Amino acid sequence: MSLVSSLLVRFVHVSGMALIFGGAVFAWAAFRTSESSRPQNRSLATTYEWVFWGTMGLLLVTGVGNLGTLGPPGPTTRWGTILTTKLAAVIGFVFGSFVRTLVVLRLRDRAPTAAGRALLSRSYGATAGAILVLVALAEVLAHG
Amino acid sequence: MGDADWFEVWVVSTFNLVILSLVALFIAHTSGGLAGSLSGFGTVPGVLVFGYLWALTVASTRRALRVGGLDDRPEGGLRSLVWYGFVGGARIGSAFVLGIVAVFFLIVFLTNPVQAVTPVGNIAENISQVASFALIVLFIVSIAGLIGGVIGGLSVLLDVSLYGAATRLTERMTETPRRSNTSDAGE
Repeated sequence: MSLVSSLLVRFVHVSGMALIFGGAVFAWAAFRTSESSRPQNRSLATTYEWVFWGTMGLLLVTGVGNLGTLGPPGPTTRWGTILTTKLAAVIGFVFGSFVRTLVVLRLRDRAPTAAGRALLSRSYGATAGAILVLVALAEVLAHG
Repeated sequence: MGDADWFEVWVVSTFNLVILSLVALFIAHTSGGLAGSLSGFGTVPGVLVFGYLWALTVASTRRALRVGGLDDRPEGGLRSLVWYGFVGGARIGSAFVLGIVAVFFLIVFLTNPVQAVTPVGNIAENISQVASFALIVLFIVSIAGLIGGVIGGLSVLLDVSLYGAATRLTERMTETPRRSNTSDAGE
């Protein structure tokens, strides 16, 4: 892979992660502090989910691209064990994220309630926390 | 048959593609086969192949969700949804392999037309070769369709079980407090 495409792949990967992390923190704060049932709240959640899943697709393809550049490690090496842990954590994160998205799908046609906002706030807070854990694992994977 | 809900189409199709790819990646890595499968696979071909599979998954999910989705299940309930998942998955598997074979053939044709288009002098031999090639492609596409169908059916079961978890979570967190919290009544 050329240097330019390698840098582009890494740029998209890091930017995508920053986008879903920043968006989750923003949504968490918005649902936590909002006391009204403004329609923008539901719009914020559905917009985040649209962007989140598009970004997840890009993160996946660029993550595989990064692995291809660096050369995937053997599963029994230290680096390989960290990659196994990271992949397992990402799989768990994707499952949890889909449940959050389905909660948004269920809540979007209902009259908004304080309990619904609290559930969404917790969901986005948990998303942001999980992304931080994944970033820490990615740091260990990249720098040892 | 109405149009599908685009939000549901997007999130369901992308989740199914991402989780399938991640599980495949995890299995390939833990079995030690990842290094071999990634070597020699460039960035641009990788992105194009993934993009093609993504587009196929979105199109097939949209078609399947036209008759009803997770929230508004089609007539026949879960069994019907799994069947539509099987058909959709079979369509994706067949179209994916067919597309790859077609592009591969096109690349061979563009880079070496003599090898792709056989001389007129050996028509009988060439017809036999083309027939064999077509049979092999048909067999591979059928197998890909069957595998895709099984994956599609299993994906629907996974989606439905996670939708059940989201439903229980939503009801536990929002409906119980709503009965006891009258401040939400006016919202």
